[in-house]
Order: sequence, then C-alpha cells, then structure tokens
Amino acid sequence: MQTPIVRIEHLSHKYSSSWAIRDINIEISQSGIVGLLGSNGAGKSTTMNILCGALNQTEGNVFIGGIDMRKEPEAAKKLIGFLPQNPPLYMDLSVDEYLVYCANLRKMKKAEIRPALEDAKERCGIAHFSDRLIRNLSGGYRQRVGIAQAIVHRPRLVVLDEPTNGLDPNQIIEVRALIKEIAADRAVIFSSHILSEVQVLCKEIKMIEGGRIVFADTMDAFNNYVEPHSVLMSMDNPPVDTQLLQIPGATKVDFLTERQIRLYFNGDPSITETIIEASVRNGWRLREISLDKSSLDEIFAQLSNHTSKN
Amino acid sequence: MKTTLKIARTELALLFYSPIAWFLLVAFLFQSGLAYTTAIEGYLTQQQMGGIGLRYLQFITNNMFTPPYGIWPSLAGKLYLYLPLLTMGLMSREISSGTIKLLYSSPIKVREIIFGKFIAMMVYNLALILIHATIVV
Repeated sequence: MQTPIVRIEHLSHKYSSSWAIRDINIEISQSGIVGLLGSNGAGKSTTMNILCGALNQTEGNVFIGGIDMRKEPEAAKKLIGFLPQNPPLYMDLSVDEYLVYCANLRKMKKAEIRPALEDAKERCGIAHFSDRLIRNLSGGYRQRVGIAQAIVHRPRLVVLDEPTNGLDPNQIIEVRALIKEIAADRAVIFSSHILSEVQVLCKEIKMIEGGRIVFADTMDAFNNYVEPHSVLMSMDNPPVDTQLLQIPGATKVDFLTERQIRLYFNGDPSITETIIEASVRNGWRLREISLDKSSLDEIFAQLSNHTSKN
Repeated sequence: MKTTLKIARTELALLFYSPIAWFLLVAFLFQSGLAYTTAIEGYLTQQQMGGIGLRYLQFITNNMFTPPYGIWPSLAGKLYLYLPLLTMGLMSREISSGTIKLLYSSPIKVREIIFGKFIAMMVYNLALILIHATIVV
C-alpha cells in the first residue's frame, strides 16, 4: 500500500486552558477530495492550521507523505498548498507579483515559475487579471487568487479552509468545479460548515464536533446514515397507536395532533405502501403521507448532540 | 539565502507601495536639511561677528561631518523617531492580515523570514542615510 499523504496521530491542541481539538486521528489517501465538516468553532481550522504548520500542536504527530512535520518541516511543507480561512493576500501587490512571490517562497526553480504561474492562473480563471492589484479585485476573485497561490507549486496535497465562504451562489458553483478539477491528480482536504457542499464534492467525510472526530467514513456511508426513518401522516379517522405498531417495520408512534401522526420505522421505505393498504382496509381515511426527509442539517445536529452528551 | 532576499525584496516593495515610506523619506530629508543649517549657522554667526572668535573658526569640515561633532550625531538622534514607525509593523502586519500563515505553511525557516525583513530595513535605512549624505554634499 502507498504511504498515505496525510497521517494525523493523536492530535490535540490547547489554546491557553481549553482544548480546541482532542485526540484526532486522520489518514488520507493519495488523491480525491476529503471533506472536513463541523460547525463553527468545532476545530476545523485548528486542525488545518496544524496540518499546514501554521500552528504548533500541543500533542500528537502529523505526517505529510510519511515525513514528520515536526522533524523535517521544510521537506513536509513542500508538499502542501494551503488556503487559510482568510486568503493570505498582500493587497498592494499585483496578482502576478504575488504569485511569483508565493512560488519563490515554495522554493520553486526559476525556470519552472513562469509556466506554473500561467497554469495556475488559467485554472483559476484569473489570467486576465495578471496586472491588477489584489486590492482592486472582488471577493470572489481574491478567493481565486488564494486558491491559485495554493496550487502554484503543484503540491501533492491542497488544504482549503472554507474556500466558498462569503461567495455568491454562482461563484460557489465555480469554485466547486475548480476544486474538483484540482483534485483530479492530487489530494484535497476541504473544510466547510455546509453539509450539502461537502456532499456534492467529497468522496470521504470527516465530521468534527467539539474538537473530536464524530464521523469518519465515505460519503456513501454517510448518505446511508441519513436515510429517512420516519413518516408523517394525517388521517381523518386515526386508529390507536397499538394498531399502527402492528404494521410490519413500525417501531414507534407519535401523535403530533389528533390527526397528525409521525410513525418511526426501521428504514425500509416500502412501509408507505403497507400503511396505505392498511388505511384503505380499516377506513383510517388517510389524507396525506410523506417520508420525513431528515435534512442533512438535522443529522448534523443529531450527530453533534450525540457526541456532546457523551 | 535566495528566499531571504526574495522576502526582503517583497517587503521593500510593499513598503514603497504605501505612502508611509515616501512620507518618512521626505520628512527626513527636511529634517536633515534643518540639522545641517543649524550646525553651520553657528559658524556663520561667528564669522560675521569677526574679532577674536575667528581664531577658533577652523577645521569646519572636520567639525561638521565627522563624528562625534556636527550633523552625524544629530542624525543618529533623529533616526530614533523613524525606525520604530517602520519596524513595529514588520511582523504584526503579517499576523493581523493573516499572511503569516502563508509564510508559516511555506517550506522556509523562521530565521529566513526575520532576516529578510531585517535586510529590507537595512536597505531602507541606507536610503535614509544617503539622503542625509546628499544634504552634506
């Protein structure tokens, strides 16, 4: 097996007295997009800053491509491109000057800089802004310059901290497409507090809450996890709950009002058919039935609460 | 070393993209002129008054331009005012704008960053001294 591009072992970080993250273990393979999901203040940015060497961890180890970040920081950092939450831009430089500076900081060879620069600008759609001052760019384009900065030295790992924050819906779509393109030949770690975004982009998902990983698996597993488990019905002549519980698969009944009922079931969506049949047979006069699509945000809240109780 | 120089170059560029560096140069130019005039004024008065004072009126060049006399010590005194204005922001500006993360996540050592900034400041101060020297010439 190839060495994973990122291995984080028992990572903890303490800001003065409170732990921001606690015992985080992550392993990320060579390519593809990994989403880091968490609410504000969950520890996403802390994790990413440590991963990129912008912050020194209190405990634990970070390995980039098998290289220990603490022992050989320079070798490890060469493999990383980092876009922090606020793009680290020098407002008084022009786009070209800035990107050349970044390329130099990453110790690129002089001959390589030009083509790499053009390529990065092309990919991020900022080629026509080469001579503009960054100060005069709009937020969306600043973000793109930030992304260009992170990929200009063609790193094997790109870390993007909330890259779509503060962009308008069109720009978000463009940036997403860009991230997908970047991820074609390298690993991308990408953080967000918007579930749908992670769902669209990522093949793997790590959820952080309260400084701990609460969910780490593939996107498919996550989607399975969030399948509906309840159905909302309104009936003009509702039966008592024991009758409803006799329906195969039903686990629990809640009467929201006299006529509105929420029925929990074991996850097999064909239960709706059974309910309709039963209703017709027994004259419950079913008026409305819908599967509760537990929105991702609800799941998010559930998972978050689940861990905070532990 | 190469990276250090690149950092120094960018730092200088940033410095001169902002009006503050130019403003300080102009202010310093003015102040050097003032220092020179003050220093030479004493000799002029003495010369015009004539009499016994003329006997002491010698080695003027020496007294004007070589430390510990004349205008160089006054220059040293005035640089105190200018240097902190420039140097105090060197690191804190990076931290407040978040660009420090760019430096930290790049494969460079902290000492390269600091040295780069130091060199940039050296060059700027050399410019200040050159201005002073022009006044002298």
